[in-house]
Amino acid sequence: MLLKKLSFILLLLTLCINNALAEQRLTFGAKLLAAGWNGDNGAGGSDFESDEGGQFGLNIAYKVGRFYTGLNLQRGAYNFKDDAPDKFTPSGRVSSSNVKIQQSDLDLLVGYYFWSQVSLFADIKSVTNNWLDESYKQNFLGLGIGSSGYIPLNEKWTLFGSFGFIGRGEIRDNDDNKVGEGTSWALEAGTVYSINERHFINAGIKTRKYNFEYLDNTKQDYTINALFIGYNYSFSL
Amino acid sequence: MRDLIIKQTLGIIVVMFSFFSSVSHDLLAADSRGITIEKTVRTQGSNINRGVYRALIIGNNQYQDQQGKWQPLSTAITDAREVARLLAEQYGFTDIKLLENATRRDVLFALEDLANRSLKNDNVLIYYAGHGFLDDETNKGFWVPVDADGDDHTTFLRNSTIRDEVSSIASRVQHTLLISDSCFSGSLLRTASRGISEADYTEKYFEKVSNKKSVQIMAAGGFEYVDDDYRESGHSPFTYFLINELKTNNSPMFTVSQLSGNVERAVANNVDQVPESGVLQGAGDELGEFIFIKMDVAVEGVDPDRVKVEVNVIPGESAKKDSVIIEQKRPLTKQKVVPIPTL
Repeated sequence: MLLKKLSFILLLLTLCINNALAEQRLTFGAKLLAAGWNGDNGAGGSDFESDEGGQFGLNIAYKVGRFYTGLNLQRGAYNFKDDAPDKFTPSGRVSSSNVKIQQSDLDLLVGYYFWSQVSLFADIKSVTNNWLDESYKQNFLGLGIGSSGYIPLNEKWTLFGSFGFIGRGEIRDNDDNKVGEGTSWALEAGTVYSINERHFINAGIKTRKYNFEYLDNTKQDYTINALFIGYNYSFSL
Repeated sequence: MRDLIIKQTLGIIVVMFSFFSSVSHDLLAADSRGITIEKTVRTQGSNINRGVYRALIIGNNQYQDQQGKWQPLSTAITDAREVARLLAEQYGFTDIKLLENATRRDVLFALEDLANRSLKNDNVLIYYAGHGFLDDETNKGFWVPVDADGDDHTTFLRNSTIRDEVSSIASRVQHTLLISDSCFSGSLLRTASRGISEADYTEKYFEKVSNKKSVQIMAAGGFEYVDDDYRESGHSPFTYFLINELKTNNSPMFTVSQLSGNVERAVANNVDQVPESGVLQGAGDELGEFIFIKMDVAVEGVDPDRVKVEVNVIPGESAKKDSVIIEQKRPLTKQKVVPIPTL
């Protein structure tokens, strides 16, 4: 119900802000993440750590005055030569190893700068993990909130960062069966270099932590740490 | 329930992309207006001392005051953009910085930056359009930045601070002009008439005043409130007539005394507001004059391409003797663009 309300508010805001007098800005971005995925399959399971992994993302953001909204799409894959995250189905846990997991992220967010350089935002987050060649998918969907901000160092350089969490999300398998619930938080920090008034490059670090509890009471935790570089093209409307 | 959420999410994405694609067409049209004109100015005639023309242009519309004391303005940014465009296109300003919706820190940072890059023979113009404030009890005037917080004066820019920053710039350059289009902006200045009639504007006069230091100010009003939108022109009355004077001026050289006299009369004749002009107190003015040099002067009956502005420039740190190539650059807008936050 909460998600439905938020979606409706976002829709109204997106349509209404067209008439606002404030400056409007559109930004397109691309992002490359070199990441590692490690975690614990809980009692009776094994620890796991990816050998290699990364994601590529595209995003679009629209800002009008202090309000902004954006869409971020990311996709990539992680190779596990040994133990990997276990698969959970309504009928129980299935261990996994020597597998490649494709991860797809979708963020649909809306935020507002309540202070000149600090904003609060809400993010509908979807993470889909696909165990390639094993016919198993798992999706985590939740509504998160967070805060972001930036500190200009000079004309060219700006520091930025954000923190947010999802208090409760649902985990479903590829048959859309609910298999558990979970929480998540994310922390990101980086710097932006302004090439000119339209072109910006950025780099930084990001860590995401997931804590899942499945229907059989098994707890699975994992962390994805990433270094990223990105590029943004931005202009006033 | 889950399907419904996904469908709604996809619906929102479709709406967003439709909206973005509709505005991007306008954006491309606006972008094509970038200025890439080059003109050559031959130098021969009266000996005026001329360095680089620099400008810091500030326009504040989007006030963020949570207490509601400082309401958004509608014309300050339009004013600032038009002044910047005019200076670049018609008056040979080659270093223009345009600040839109500037915070207190932005303004101070930009003034400091301007001081750092200015040279001895330069001509520096600072233009401010936004809210102003006068403390009735202490008679102190302020500029109000977009991050001003209600009645908290410490979040404003006090006149004495502005004066200090402008004095710092004036100490480095030959001519400084501060134009303030805000309420109570007259509290910044001390009236100092040069007592010159129109007939006295001879080449010798221009030569004389260009070689004396000047720190001048033009203010939209004295100790009064000033209007935001003049007859729905998209400009304040003061900047409307300022722009009009700069556009219609057809003299190669145009002093601030001439400009301010014309603007003051035009504003006072049309709205209930009396602009003022003078010198900035304690900033080293020696009764020189900031001189606008118009690059595109019309001569009746002569093809505009054949009209050349000829002004002999005394060689300075940043001027060449024989010819000066004026590169018209699009004013830079300070933008802080950071990646969208995600979880």
